[in-house]
Amino acid sequence: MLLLWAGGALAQPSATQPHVTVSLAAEQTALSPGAKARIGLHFALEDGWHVYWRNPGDSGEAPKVRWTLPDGFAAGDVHWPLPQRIRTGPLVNFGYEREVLLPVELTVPAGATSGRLQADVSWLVCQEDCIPGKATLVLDLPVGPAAPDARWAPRFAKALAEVPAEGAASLEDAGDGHVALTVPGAGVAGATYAFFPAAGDVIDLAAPEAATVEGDTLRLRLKKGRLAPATMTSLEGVVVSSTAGGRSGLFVRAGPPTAAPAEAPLGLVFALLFAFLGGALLNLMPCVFPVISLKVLGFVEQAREDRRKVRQHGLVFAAGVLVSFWVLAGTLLALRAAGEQLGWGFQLQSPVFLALLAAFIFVLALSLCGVFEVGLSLTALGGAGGGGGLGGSFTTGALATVVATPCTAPFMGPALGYALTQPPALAMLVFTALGAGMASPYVLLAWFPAALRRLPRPGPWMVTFKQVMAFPLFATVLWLLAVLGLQAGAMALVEVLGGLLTLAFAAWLWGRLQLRHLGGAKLAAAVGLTLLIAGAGLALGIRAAARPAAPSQAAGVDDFWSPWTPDAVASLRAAGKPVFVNFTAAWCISCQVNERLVFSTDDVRADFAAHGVAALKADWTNKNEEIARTLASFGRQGVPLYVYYPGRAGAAPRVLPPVVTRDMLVETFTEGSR
Amino acid sequence: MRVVLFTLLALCAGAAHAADVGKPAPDFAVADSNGKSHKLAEYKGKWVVLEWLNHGCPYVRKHYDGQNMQASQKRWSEKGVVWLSIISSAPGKQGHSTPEKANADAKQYGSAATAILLDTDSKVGLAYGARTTPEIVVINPEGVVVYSGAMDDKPTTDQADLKGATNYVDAALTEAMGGKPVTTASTKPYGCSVKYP
Repeated sequence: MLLLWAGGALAQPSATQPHVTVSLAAEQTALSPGAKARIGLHFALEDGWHVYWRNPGDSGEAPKVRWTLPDGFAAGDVHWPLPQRIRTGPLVNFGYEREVLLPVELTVPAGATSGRLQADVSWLVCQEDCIPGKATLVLDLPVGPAAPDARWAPRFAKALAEVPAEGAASLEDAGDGHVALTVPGAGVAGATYAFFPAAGDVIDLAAPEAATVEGDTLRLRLKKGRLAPATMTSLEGVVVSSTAGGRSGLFVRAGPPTAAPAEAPLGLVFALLFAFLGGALLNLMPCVFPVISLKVLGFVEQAREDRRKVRQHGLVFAAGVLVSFWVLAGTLLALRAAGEQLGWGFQLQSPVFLALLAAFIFVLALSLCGVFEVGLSLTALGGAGGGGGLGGSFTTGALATVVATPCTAPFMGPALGYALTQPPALAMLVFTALGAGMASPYVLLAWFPAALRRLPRPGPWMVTFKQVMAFPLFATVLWLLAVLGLQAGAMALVEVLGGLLTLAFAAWLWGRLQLRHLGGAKLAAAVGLTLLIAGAGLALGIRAAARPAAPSQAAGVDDFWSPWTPDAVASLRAAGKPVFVNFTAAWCISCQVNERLVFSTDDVRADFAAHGVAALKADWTNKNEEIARTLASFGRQGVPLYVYYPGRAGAAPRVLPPVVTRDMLVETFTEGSR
Repeated sequence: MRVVLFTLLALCAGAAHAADVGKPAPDFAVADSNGKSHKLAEYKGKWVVLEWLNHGCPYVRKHYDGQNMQASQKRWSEKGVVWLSIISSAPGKQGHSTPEKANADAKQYGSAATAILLDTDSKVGLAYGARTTPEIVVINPEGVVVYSGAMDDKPTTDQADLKGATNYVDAALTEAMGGKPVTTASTKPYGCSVKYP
C-alpha cells in the first residue's frame, strides 16, 4: 500500500492508485503572465468509493496538497464544491463519489516564462474499508496564448458552479442543546435544506435539521455536537438548498445576531403584534365568546362600583389568562425540549383531554341554560359580581384560556408554529403577547368604565342572552366530540356521550337542590348523591376515551386516499408515479374545509386520475412522530400541508398553499408532468 | 404529567448513550479473544482505557506500525490501568475478527493491552457512540469518563506524524491520575469509520 514515487521520478500530471485516479489539471492550455489561472486536483473514483470534503464528518480525512511552484507563483486555498452526505450505518460523512475537481487559484507572476507545477497530494479513499494514498503530480504548462482545455474546462465550469458563494447569517444558542442559524435570502419555495459544518463535532450530524422559511429567510435548528461550547456564538459551514433545479450552497460565517441588525428583531416585532391582535380576536371565537360575554356582564353590574376594585378585577382576570397561557406554552416547550415531536394543537391529540374539555364545556353550557347555577350569584361565573373575590376573576381568566384552546389550535396554528421555532424565551414572549391580546379588552373596559355606558343597561335581557350563549358552547362540544369519535372510535364516542348524559342528570339534580332549601343531613346526602353521579359520568367518559384507540389512520383513509408512509412515497416515486400527500387532522378546521370543498369533489378526484397522481393521506389527528418530523422537514409545525412530488426522479417536491383550489391542483399536476 | 415523567426518564436514559466527558461510562459485559468475559462495573476502583481497534484501518496501522499504541498500552498497564482494545466491526464487515485472528494480530503487533474485546454485536461501540478506529475513552475509578476522542492531534495515516504529535491519552492519564483536571478532555476522534451492521 505504501507508494514510493514521492521522489518525482515519474513527472506525470496524474497517478492511478487503488480505486482512484488523481490528476493535476489546468483550465487553460497555457498560462498568461501577470494573470490568475485556475488549476485543480481531479479525483476519478471507482463506483462506491469516495473521497472527503474539508470536514470529513464522523470519520475519514480530507485530501491535502502541498505545492512546489516556480518563483513568484502562488497557489490559493482549495475551493470546495458542495459535498454529498454519505451515510454508513449510524455515521455521517461528507464527501464526493464518482468524480470531483477541487479548484485552486494560481497567481502567475508578470515575468513568468514557464510553469512547472508540482503538487504533493495525499488523500483517503473509502468504501467500507479505507485506503490512504499519496502522489507527487507534476504539470508543465507553457506561457503564451491560452485556450480552454477541452478535457478540463467543462469540469472546472461544473465544479466552480458548485462552489458555494459567501452569504450572511446569524447564530443564536437556543439554550436547549440546539442552535438557531438564520440565513436571510436562503429560503426558496419548495426546497429542502441541509447544513454542512466546516469544523468537526460542533454540530451533531446524525440529528435531523429542522428548517423553517419565512419570506426568504431560512432558519435552521441544529443540534450541538460534543465539541460545541456551552454557549455557541459562531458557526461556519455551508447551507445547501435542493430544489428541482438542483442544489445551491451558501458559505456562511455566522456570529451573534447583532452582525445582521434589523432583520431578526423586525420579524419578532411583527410576530408579537400579530400574536397580540390574534389574541384579541380569539375573544370572538364561538368557544370563547360565551364565557367572556359573561365577564362583560359582570362588568356591567360592577360599573357603578368602586373604580379601584373594578380595575383590580380587570388586572387579575388578565393575570389568569396570562398564567394559563404560560402553563400551556411552558408545558409544550418543555416537552419539545425533551424531544417530543409536538406542534401546537398537541392537546387535542389526546382523547382524554378532549373528553375532559368536552365535559367541562358541556357543564358550562348547561349552567348557562339555567339547568343549575354556579355558586350563588347569577354572574358568579362571570366573576367579580357582588361578593365574588379576586380569585373568581383569576379563575375566569384561566377558564377563558382553557375554553379557547380548541379555537387557538386551528386558527392560530401557523403563527404559533413560528413561535415554536424560536428559542424558548422568544417563544414565551410570543405566547405572552397572545395572552395579553386576549385579556386586553377587559383591562381596557376596567380602566375606562365610561365605555361600558355604551353597552345596554343591566336588565332581564341578560338572562336571555346568557341562555342563548349556551348554544355556541354546545356547538363546541359537538365539534370536540366529532374529533374524539375519529380518534377513539364510535363505541368510545357513545360511551363518552353516556358520560355526558350522566353529567347532565347530575347537573339537573343539583339545580333542583338549589331551588329547595334543604338543610342538615338531607342536604349532605343530596350533595353526596349528586357528586357521585357526576363523578360516575366523568369516569365513564374518561375510561372510554383512555382506551387504546383503534388504528386511527384508517379513519381518514378511504378508497380514494391511501395511508401515507415515507416508504410509500419513495416506492411510488421510484416507479415514476407522481404523488400528492395530504397532511391533515380531524381537529384542523381549514383541513376539513379543503376536504369538503376540494378533495371530496368528483371533479378533483377525476383530475387525480387523469394525471395519474397517487393520493396519500397523512392523518395527524393522533400524535405521530413520523408525521411531525416530516412536517418539520418542510418547515411546518402544523397541518394542513399539501405536498406534490413530481414523478421524475430527483425532482424536488412542491408545497401548495394551505387553502387549495381545484385550479391550483390542476396547474401543479400539469406542470409536474411536463 | 405521566408524559412529562416519561419524557424525563427517556431523556436521562438517552444521555447515557454517548461517552460524554463527566458522565458515567455505560456498563457492558463482553467476551475477550480468550473467551473471558469483561464487565466494566467490575473494574470500579481502577482506571480503564477503551481503545477501538481495527487492524485493517490505515489510521490504526499508523499507531501500531509506529509502536505508538503499544508504548501507551505498556506504559499505563504497568501502572495498573486496565486497557481494553475493542473490535466493534459487525460480522461480514471489514475488520470483524475471530478470537483466533484477534490473538494472532495481538501477537504480531506486540499488543500490550489487558484484553482484546470482541464486540461482535457492536453494542459497546453504539453505547459509547464510537465513530472511528482508533478512538479512545478514558474512565476513572469512579466509572466516569474523563477523556473521549482521538489518540493524538495529527489526523493522518502517516507514521512520520507520530513524532511531534501531542498524545492526548498520555496527557489525560497523566493529569487525571495525578489528581488534576484533564486540560483537553474532548477531542474529535479521527480515523476509519467503525463498521457497524
